[in-house]
Amino acid sequence: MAHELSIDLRDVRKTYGGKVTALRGIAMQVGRGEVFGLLGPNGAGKSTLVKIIMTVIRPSHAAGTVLGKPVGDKPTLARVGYLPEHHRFPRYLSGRQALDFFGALSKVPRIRRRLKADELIEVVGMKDAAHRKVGTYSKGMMQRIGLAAAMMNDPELILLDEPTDGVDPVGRRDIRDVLLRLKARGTTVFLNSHLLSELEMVCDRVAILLGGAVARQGTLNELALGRGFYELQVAASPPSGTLTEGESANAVYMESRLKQMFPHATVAGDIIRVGTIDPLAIQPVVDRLRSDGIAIKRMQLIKPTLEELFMEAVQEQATNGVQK
Amino acid sequence: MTTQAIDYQSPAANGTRITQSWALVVDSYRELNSKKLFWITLILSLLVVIAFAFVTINDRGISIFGADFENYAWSTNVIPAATFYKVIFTSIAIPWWLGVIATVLALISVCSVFPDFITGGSIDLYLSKPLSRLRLFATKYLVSLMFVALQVFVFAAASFLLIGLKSGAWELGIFLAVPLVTLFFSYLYCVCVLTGIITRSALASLLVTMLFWLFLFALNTTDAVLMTFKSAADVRLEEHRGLIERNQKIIDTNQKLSPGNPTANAGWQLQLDGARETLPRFEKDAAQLQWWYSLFRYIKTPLPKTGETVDLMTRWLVEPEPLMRMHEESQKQQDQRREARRNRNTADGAPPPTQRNRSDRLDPEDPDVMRRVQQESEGRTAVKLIGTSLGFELAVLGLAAFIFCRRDF
Repeated sequence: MAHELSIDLRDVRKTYGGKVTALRGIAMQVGRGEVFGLLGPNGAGKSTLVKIIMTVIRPSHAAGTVLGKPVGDKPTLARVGYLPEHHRFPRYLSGRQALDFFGALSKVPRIRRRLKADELIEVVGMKDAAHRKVGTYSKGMMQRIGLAAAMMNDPELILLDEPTDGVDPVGRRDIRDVLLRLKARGTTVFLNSHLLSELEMVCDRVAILLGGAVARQGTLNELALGRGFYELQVAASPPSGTLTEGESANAVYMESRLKQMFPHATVAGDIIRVGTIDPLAIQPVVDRLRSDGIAIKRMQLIKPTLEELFMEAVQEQATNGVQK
Repeated sequence: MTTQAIDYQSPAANGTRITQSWALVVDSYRELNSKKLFWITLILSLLVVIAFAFVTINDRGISIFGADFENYAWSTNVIPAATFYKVIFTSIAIPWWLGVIATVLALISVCSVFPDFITGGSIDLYLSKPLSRLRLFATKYLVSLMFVALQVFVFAAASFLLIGLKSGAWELGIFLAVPLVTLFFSYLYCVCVLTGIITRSALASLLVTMLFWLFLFALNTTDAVLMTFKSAADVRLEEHRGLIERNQKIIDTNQKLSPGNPTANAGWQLQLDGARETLPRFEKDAAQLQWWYSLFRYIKTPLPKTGETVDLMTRWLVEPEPLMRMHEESQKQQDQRREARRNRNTADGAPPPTQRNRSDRLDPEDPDVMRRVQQESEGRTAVKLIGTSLGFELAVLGLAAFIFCRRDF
């Protein structure tokens, strides 16, 4: 199983100066070829965790592997790409020179660097500015060239810390496309972002980091479990003949009937809410309504957004504290 | 599309190690190239060599930018042309241009290398690559020194051509300036790097380095002054003891020759008593100077020997004899001038200046003292000078590297 994981953290801890605890024993698994999102409020320890994986910060304790090698193994980094938050490429280099330089530091042979730089400049849409000095770039251009630099070594795993920071909507869409392209070729993408909607669009799995610990982790469906539901709107008046004698066709009466039929569902007026997000689980309900001759006007899967899940986790933490 | 990961454990791994180091060299070049100061220093160095081309020596004296200064002591009759140009190179060009002005410019050029390197957002890009922190640190440090060595090499090569063309002496020893000046610079640069790593500020590291350099300069100057005066005090004491011994012998001889004549030794006895009276003071002076000299040597031992490292050039490149001859000749000229002035004053009716006893004062310009200073200096071997200085550099760099390798960025 271990070789199926790009990142397999068992117990990662970090305390600064013996006083400030940034990470309290992180356990996190990221499968190969997965797009994994890490989210959390400021100071949750997201960047610390990414920097520990990239050996920029030394952990107080780290049990786990990255691409099958122990956390902190330097040679493994030749197979990893990284875009740091607020990165500062040398201002005296042109975009192309920056790609070549950081590609060389990742041990990419010279000829391959040249070809790769051409390809990536095209991919990130920097063809016209590739020969300009990085010092003249806008924030969005810096992010694009940074993304290209992170891909210079054809990484098996790429960690992106706030990749869309300062990027306009068009740029964000371009970056999203690049991520999807990486996913399609089997690269594991580890995304650290504040933009929950961005994560929601591309991530297979996410982890919510709160106070230096993983509060929740899983696919969006797993996280939404128990929080999502199917909502059905039925015709206000059931067709004649479906009600027994003495039942009137008014909505109030219909509600009581539906409640008898689906005791685990909530019914409010002509709206039925069934607490499942599993499409198979909702089928018997649909069958029953149809067999009773009740017309279904609308059926919709309602799932909490990532933002709602995140806010819920944050509020939960605020209520319970994070003392673990 | 499949993932094409780099096989870092392949036989090409050694090649890629060179790739990384070469990339860092090229990057450092681009960084320095972006700072125009590198080129300005190089051009100024060449201008200094060109300026020295206008200083010549002939059998009448020296000529500076066409202006002739006739001086027998400074002529090819006393000092060979090749030695003269080497003296200019080792006594003026290296200590003043390379050892001060170019060094300040070089420090300004490279003081920001480490602070910029460890800035947040920049250091992440380097540390996240498959090369160890220690290697990254060492490569950055060595590459900075390499560019200083390049500057010195260009200067030495231009000087080599100049001296060769002007005197016919193609002195390859001039290129010793490259390792020596680079070593000298490295003593200061290691302090600059340590401060840069701790404070992350280019300005702070430059200021601390300059202050450290000033401290070393003061220490070295004090050491040199103490060495000279200690040698002078030793020479004076030895001469004084010799005087006492000689007087005693004369008195003894006189007493043997004419035992019944008490007046025969009166003058000698008076001189002997005077000398014996002065002896404790001279002994005290010599002992005090020896104490201070030893104290400063102890303080200096673990510190880098900036000036002395650069002075090794003179020691290795210039034969001392012509210089001593030149100095003696200058001394003779000075004495002649003094004598002429005294004769003139006497002729004018003015009283002659009071004659002082030679052994009564400390004379740093006494040839005996100068010889002793030279012997003392040469007693400090190159291995000892460079070894202790490199020890300091290694300790400072070790601390800087330790901080760099352990720090969370």
